[in-house]
Amino acid sequence: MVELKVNGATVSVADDPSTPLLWVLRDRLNLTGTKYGCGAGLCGACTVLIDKTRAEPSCQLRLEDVTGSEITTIEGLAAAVGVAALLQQAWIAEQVPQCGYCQSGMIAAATALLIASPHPSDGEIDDAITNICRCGTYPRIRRAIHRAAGTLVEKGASNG
Amino acid sequence: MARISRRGLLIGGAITAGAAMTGLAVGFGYLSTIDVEGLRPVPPQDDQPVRLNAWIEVLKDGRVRVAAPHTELGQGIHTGLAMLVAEELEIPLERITVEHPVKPLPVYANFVLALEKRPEEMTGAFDWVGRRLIGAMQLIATGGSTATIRNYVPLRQAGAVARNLLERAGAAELGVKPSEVKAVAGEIVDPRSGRRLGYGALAAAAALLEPQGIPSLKPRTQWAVIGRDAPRLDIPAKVDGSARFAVDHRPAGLLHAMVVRPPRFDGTIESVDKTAAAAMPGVVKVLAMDNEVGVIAETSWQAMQAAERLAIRFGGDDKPGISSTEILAAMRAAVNDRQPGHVFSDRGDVDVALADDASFEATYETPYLAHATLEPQSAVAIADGETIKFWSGAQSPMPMMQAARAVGRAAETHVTLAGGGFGRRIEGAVLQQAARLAASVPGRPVMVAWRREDDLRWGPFRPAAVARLRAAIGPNAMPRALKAVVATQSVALGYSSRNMPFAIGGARDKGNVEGLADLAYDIPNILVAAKHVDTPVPVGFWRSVGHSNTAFFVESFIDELAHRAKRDPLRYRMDLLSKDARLSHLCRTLSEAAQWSGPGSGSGRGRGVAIHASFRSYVGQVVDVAVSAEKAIKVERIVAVIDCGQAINPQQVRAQLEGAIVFALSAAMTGEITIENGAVTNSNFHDYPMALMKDVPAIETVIIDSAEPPGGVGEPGTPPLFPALANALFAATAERVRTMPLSRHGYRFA
Repeated sequence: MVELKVNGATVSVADDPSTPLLWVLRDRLNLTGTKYGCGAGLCGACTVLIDKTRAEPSCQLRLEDVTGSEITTIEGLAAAVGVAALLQQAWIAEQVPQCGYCQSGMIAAATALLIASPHPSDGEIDDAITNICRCGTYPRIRRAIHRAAGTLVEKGASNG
Repeated sequence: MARISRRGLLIGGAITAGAAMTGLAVGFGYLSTIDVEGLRPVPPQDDQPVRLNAWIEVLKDGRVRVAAPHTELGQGIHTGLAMLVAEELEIPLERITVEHPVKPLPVYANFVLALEKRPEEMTGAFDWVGRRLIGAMQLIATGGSTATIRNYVPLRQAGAVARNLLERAGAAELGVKPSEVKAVAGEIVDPRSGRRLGYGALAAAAALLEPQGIPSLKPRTQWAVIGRDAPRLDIPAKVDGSARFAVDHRPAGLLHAMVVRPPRFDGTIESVDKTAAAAMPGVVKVLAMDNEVGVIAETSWQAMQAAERLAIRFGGDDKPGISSTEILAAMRAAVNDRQPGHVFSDRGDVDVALADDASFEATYETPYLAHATLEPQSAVAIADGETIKFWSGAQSPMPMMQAARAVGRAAETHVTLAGGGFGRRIEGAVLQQAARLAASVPGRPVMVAWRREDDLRWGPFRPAAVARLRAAIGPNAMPRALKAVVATQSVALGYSSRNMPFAIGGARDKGNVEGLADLAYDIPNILVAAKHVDTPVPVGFWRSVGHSNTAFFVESFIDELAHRAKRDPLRYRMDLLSKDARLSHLCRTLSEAAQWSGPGSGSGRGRGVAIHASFRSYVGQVVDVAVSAEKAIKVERIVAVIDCGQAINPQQVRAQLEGAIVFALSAAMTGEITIENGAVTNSNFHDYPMALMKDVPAIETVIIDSAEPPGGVGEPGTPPLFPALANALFAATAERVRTMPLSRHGYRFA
């Protein structure tokens, strides 16, 4: 058995310690907000918050890598980190999601960014948010991060 | 006979053939029983939500459930359709929930996709027959940017008829005349007494009344919902992880399956040794299917691990397989040979003009492209007795019905949220796999979810194309004739050969030249022809379909003509569009919004423009780029103007423009599916990369205020970006890129 600390609770799973965290979250713990997109750490759909500081793709984390870590998924994000709730509100205010499949990972990545840098510049957003959104919600994500961080500047006629 | 469109017929697939023939044979009497309006109430049953018509149910607490026979792919359609109902039903939008109906009633058929006419245009006897035929086929589908067009009038009518029933039930209860009450925010109100009754309390009585025709709809000036920004109903669940896609469906006892196919499109499976895979932890079953092997296990990871242990001998590789290089060479040869091809447009005398005038010619090329929906193909299926129950973000329940029939069962179709669609989810492959695998473990739910590698390699793909365009240059350096020959691979043929019992399409597939054969430019002599190059590569519908190729061809070519004439490329277009009021207005609006002052004078910065009409809408875009000496491109600004007729939810029209532009930006920069020896070489996002946050500028959008009936919105923003970007690159560098993507020419995002 492997013990994990997920969203504040300790859980035991019987999977092999080399199993990627993503599949344990989804198929064993029913935390389906965390998505599979590439299985190769390229798209960020599976991003979770580790130790309330780092955003990491859960498809690249083996269970044995995270046994001592605090794992926070989208389901527990707002309760664990205050800024995540602000981000979720900003996501609604800016009407960010289209299909929504990437947005759990986006919000996890944005949460880690605001923890590290509460008032990020556009350059910091570019560097921190490397997740893929196939619907193209990037301009609205940028605005939502600025809104949550209190750095939203209205630019011209832009509605993006 | 009503004209049934190629695309609609295609999607109708096998069911079309059978049901249409039956419908015709039984004739008028049968057809007249097909309800295409769905406006009658259903007698209420205890404790069930009350169905006031096929579209609208009222719950006990007064909330309303709208049946939306369109898949929420991310385009915001569920909210848009709810707005149409809310406007006439007089209920706050936030009290509406939207669900894709499980029962495929004829009333839900997408006859706009099939008949290529708006409902309000369908007034003749042929239309009457056509609508009922499409209904009998249960041709429910989301595609071709048709959902708003299809529902703009019918859903408002459904709201108005339901409101009328509630008003009459309320008036009876309040002891006044129906004309004395008003429907206000989910209640029937008697203004004189101030008494009011909620819809929830009145619904059962309302459902016992007979509809009295269709009340006249509110004039546009009285609208309170349509045309105003409304928050999407599905967004709260998409920010807290609670939104459920097909991959998130978790029925008790769920099993997970992976499928392995031959790497080559024309490959076969000669033999399978299941031993090692079957012995892996969690494996429940290994099933050899026609040309695939499925592995069913307790978890996704176990299924993936076990699939790796399958020992499969693949066949069909004794001869070298096709390559995308060879295919493009064949397409190049096809546009240059003397065969006329299938002629779609022939106006004036192109050859005489080309012989008389100075001419200019250019050849353009585009690659195969993948959809790469972020949620790969997925479905859950349970074989429950004689029924297969499906859950999938499919763009139509029809492939579910076909997949169930293939295993001798009926289908129960649950259309879920989809993690992106873009045309990819109109295909049946994953549903067929799910049906077969579920049938092998009766009573156990089975999820089939493709790996990214499978999704990228198996296709189908947007077809590659080569186009040769030639213009005769007349007075004032304007084109007096245009001859365009497109060689590509027919999507209709690809789709029908995979999903139907018979194949249609080929050179005659008008998707080959859509956006070119119906060119808006005022050029007196035009000849447009298509040639179909057959290949084993599967091709399918990709956001904006043929337009994604033809806009690049035409709008690059027109730009070349303008630059050669030393004319401003936007003014040059406006001269060619002066007889078209809507496009002229679009150009003027774009010029103002972008503060257009010409393409720039090179030296690493430039602006490009493109205009394209598709799916009954018109889009113009201006792209600004800065290009370094090392060919790093920074897209600095994108301005997009759309005339989509009446916008229902403007902020979502903007969202679709933004999304369509980013979708095209990825494709234009790096999008290229490469085929070698019969198989796709791309495998994941490292070699099929996407535009990221850093690559996408603010996108400024303008919606032209219009009371015209709605046009499509999901797709029209995609086509113009390809040429607008290439034209900007030319303005910045003087390099004319005639071959997509830009990465082929050494360009990359800065």
